[in-house]
Amino acid sequence: MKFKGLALSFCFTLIQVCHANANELKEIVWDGFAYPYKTGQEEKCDSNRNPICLILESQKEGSFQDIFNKKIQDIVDNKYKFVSKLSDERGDSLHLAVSISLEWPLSTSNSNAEEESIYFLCTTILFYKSSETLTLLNAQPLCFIQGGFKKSSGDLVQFLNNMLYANTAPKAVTIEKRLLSEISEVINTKPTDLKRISIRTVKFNEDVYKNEPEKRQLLRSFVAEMLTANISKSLGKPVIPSSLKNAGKIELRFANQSKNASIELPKSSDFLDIVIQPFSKKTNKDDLGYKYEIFFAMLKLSHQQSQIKGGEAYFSNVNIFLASAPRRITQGNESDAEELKYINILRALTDDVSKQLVKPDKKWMKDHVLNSDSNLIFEGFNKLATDLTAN
Amino acid sequence: MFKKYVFVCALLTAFSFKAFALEKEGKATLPIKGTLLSTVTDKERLAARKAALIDAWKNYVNDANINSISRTKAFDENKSDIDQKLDKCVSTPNECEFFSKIDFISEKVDKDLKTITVYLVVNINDQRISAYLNGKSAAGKQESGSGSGFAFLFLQRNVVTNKQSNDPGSDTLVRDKAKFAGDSAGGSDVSAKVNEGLVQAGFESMDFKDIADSCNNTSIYDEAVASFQQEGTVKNFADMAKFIKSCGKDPEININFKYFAVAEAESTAPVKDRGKQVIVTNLRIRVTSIVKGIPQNIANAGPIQIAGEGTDSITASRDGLIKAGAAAARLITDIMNEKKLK
Repeated sequence: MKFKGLALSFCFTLIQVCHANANELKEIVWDGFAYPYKTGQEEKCDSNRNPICLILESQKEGSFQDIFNKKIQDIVDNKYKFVSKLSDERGDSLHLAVSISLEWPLSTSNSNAEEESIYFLCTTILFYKSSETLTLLNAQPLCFIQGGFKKSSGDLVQFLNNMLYANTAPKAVTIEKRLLSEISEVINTKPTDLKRISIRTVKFNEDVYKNEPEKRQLLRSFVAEMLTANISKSLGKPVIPSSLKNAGKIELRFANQSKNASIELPKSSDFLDIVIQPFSKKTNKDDLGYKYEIFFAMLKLSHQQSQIKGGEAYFSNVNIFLASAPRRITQGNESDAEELKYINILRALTDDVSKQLVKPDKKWMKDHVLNSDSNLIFEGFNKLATDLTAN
Repeated sequence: MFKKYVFVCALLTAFSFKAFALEKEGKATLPIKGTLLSTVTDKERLAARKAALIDAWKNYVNDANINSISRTKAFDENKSDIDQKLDKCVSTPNECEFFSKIDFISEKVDKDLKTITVYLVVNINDQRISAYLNGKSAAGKQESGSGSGFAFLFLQRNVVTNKQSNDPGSDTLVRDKAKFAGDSAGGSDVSAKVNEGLVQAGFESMDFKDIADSCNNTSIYDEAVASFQQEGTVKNFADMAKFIKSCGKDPEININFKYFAVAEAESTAPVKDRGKQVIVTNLRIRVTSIVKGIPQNIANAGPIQIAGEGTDSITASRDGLIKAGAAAARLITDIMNEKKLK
C-alpha cells in the first residue's frame, strides 16, 4: 500500500516535471504558407500566375497544408514548440511562415509536342516577432528546381504535390523535408546572425524580354530570389530577404485572410543594385564542321552602404558574365528551348557572383569581370566580403 | 563501368578543348632604323610585336567558322577601343583581355634588309570577346525595370446628415468628422487598386503613407489628412512634394519620384435603394510633376461620381472605395498616357 502510494507520488512528480518542461518551451505560432503578393496585385491567390495556390488554398484533411501543419507541430526542439494558436495571447509572440516568392515553369523544348517544363520555385522561411509591429528575426530563402512536368500527360496539381511532399521514396528530397529541416535551423539561429545585405533594385537592359512585361517581372524576382538564396548559402547565414520596392516590408497573404500581415524588415547596412544585361548566344564550327553553341548571361552589379554606415560604394557598374560550356548541336537537341539555357546560365551566374561577394577570387574575377579595372573591383569585393564575414 | 564513364568524359573534355582552344598565328615584318648603339630600338620592337598581334587578331576576326558577318561588323564599330586593348596586350601581356596566352615564337632582325620580323601564336579568349561585344551593345541601351516613381495619396471623407447640429427640420448636409481611406475598412483595398493600375502602366508606385512611414515623418501625412478633414482640400501639397523627392533619395527607398497625385473622395450618406444601401462617392484627382521638387500641375480630373452598393452601409462604403480606387488609377493612367508621360 505504502509502495503504491510512493509510486503514485513519483508518477505525479514525473508528470509535473514533464509538464513544467513542456511549459518552458516557448510557443511559435505556425501561420502557414503565404502566397506571393506584391503591392498592386489583387488580394487573392491567382492560380493562373501561381499554380501553387491550387494546393495552398486547400485546408482539407490530407491536403499539403494539413499534413505540413501536423509535421511542423511534431518538430522536437529544446527551446521552442510549434502551435497553431497561442495558449496565452498576452504580450509579444513569435511566428513562423513560409512565403512563396517565385514560381516559374519554363518549357524545355521549342516544339509544342512534348511541352515538358522545368519548374523553378523559391520560398522564404520567415521567423518574426509580433509586438506593436511585426519585425523579422530571421529568414532563410530557398530555391528549388524540379523537372519532368509534361502538360500533355500530367496533372499540374499532382506534379506540384509530388514536388512538395507526396514522393514517398525514402531518399527523395521533397520540398517538405527540406523546409522542415531548415525551419529547425532558422528558429535556432541567433537574430544577430542575420546579415544585413539586401538586393535593393533589379533593373533590365531594354533588350531583355522586350515587350514581355510579365516575363520581365518573373525574371526580376528570379534574379533577386536566386541571388539572395545564394548569398545566404555562400555565407552560411541568413540574409535580409529582397523586398524590391515594397519599402522594406514583406507583405504576407494567407488563404486564411485574418492572418494577412506586413512584416517590417531590419534596415540593411549594404545594398546591391542589379541590372540584367541581354542574353547572347554564339555558334562556332570546328574543323570537322560540327556546330557548337555557347550561351552567355551578364549582370551589372553596384554596391552601396547605408547612409548610417557612411554611404560608400565599394564598386559600381561591374559587368560580370558567365558562358556555358560549348554544346554540340545535334538533330536530337536542336529544338531544345533557348530560354531555359539562358535562365540556367543566369542561375549559375547568380551562384558564382554570390561566391565572389563572400570570398572573391582574383583569377575568377579577371576572367569574368568585363571592366578593365578588375583589380580595383576585386579590392571592392574584398572590402564587402570582409564586412559580411565579420562577426 | 565507372572507368568507362571517366574515359568517355575525359575524351569529351579533350575533344571540346581541341575544338575550342582557339589558337591563331600572327606574323609581321617592319623596317628598322636603329641607333648607333643598337640595330633595333625598343620602340621598333614593340611596334613589330603589335603588328604581329594585329595580324593574329585579323586571322581570328576573319575566321568564318568563329565569327559571323555581324560580329565582324561589330569589331569594326569598336575598332579604336579594340586597338587600345591590343596595345595593352603588347605593353603588359598579363593584363591582356582578349588573349589568354601570347607565345612570341621568334624575333628576327635582318641587318642587311634593315627589318625586324616577329612571329607569334596567341590563344584567343573567345568567350571574353563575345561578352565584350555583348557588353558594348548593351551599354548603348536604356535600363528600365523600376519605372518612374509615382507617389499618390488617396483621401476620403464621409458627408453625413447631422440633424443635431442644424436647425430643427432642416435636412442640410453638413460635414461630420471625416473618415479616411487609411483608417476605414477599405483602405488597403484602395491602396492596392491604385497601385495595381499604376504598376501595370509601368510606374514604380508608392503610397504617400508608406513614404511618410519609411522616412519617419508621419506628421506630414497627418497634416494632409487633417487639412482635408477640416477644409476639404490638401494644404501642404508643396511640402509633401519636397518631402517625397528627398525621401526617394533614401537608400532604403531609392526611387526617383517624378509624379505625385492626390485623389480626394467625398462620400454621401447611405441611401436605401431597392433593398440595398447605396453610397455615392465624388472623386477629384490632381496630378503633378515633381521632377524639380516643386509641384507643377499636369492635370485635374473630376469630379466623377461612383456608386457603391451593399446590404449594409459598411459593405456599400467598401464597395464604393474599391471602385473609387480603381477609377482613380484609371484616371491617372489615362492622364499619363494622354500626355505621353512615363
